[in-house]
Amino acid sequence: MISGTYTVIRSAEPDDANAMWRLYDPSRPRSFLLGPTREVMIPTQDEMREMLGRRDVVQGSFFTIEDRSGEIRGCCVLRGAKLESEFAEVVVALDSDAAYETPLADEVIEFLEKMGFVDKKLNKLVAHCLSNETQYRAYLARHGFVSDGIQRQMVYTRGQYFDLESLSLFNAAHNGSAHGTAVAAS
Amino acid sequence: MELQLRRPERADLDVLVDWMSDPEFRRFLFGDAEDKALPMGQQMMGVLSSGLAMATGTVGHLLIEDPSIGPIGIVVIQELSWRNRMCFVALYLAPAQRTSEPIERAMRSVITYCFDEMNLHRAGIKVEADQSDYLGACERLGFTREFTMQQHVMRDGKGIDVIGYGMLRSEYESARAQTAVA
Repeated sequence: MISGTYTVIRSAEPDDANAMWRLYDPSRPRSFLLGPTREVMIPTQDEMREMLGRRDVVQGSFFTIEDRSGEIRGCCVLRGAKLESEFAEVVVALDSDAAYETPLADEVIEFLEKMGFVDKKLNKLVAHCLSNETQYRAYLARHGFVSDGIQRQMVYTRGQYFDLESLSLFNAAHNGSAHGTAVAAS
Repeated sequence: MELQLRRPERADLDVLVDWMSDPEFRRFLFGDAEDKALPMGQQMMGVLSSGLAMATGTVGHLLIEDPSIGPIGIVVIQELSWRNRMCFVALYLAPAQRTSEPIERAMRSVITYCFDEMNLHRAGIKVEADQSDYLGACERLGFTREFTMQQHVMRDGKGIDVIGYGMLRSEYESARAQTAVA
């Protein structure tokens, strides 16, 4: 468990399924909802609970974000971290777009950056956002992520195509920048 | 004569095993160029069976055949999504075919397959930055350069950039119409 100034970040558990399921809102297309083939996936609550119960999937990669009052505000993921590939994908899913502009969100990305660059010694973190996720994109850019480019009309959902942008942050660039608050492990 | 794309069959094993001596083929199949000895037969059978699974799966291999000389390469259809109607393709061509003209010819047959046979909305291809013949072929065929992922694959301990191209159905159709007019 990581206890910060604004958040408690801990491994996700099956009991988080109900709160977490609120994030899977099909009316609001988000890159967070994309599966391996970039299709929007909406699990049922039972599937969510089952997935969160699989320690091999969840442990060390899928985290629940609570605010200091104990309310679940979202989740974050470090996906596919392998030493040989030297990069991993980060995902931060918060309960509202406005939340990406808060210190809580800053603390979450700092946690993921530390885990990726310091603990796992990765060279690069990548992230994706759909064309409608302007606040999420601004959040990533604020934390040093740089656009790799936009894949046009990649995702079809709710009767229309969305572009998918890839962004990346290199370890060297991360070390060169200084971000906000410190996060302490307990 | 037009190239044909077809499912690999048991009779193609000799050609596939031959290609195993090419480091490019090993990298294409396994992600690295190391020699793969014993499990090779099983891996080959995996390649053969993935062509069958493509209708429902997300990946499949198809042999590229020149009717006058036989198999000249393999295309793998990756990240296939029927819901998004898109996929990525990756090509392996035998050493004798790795020059501009054969690469362009093979890529054209793959794109035609994606749009005319699979009825996709979008096809993408990722090319490593040092594969200049493939990059040139993408540009000439009308792909749009969409992204560059820096140091995205490791080769011999060195990070290589990966360049992503995409083509939409509308772009494919307009390019084809222009060719027909010409």
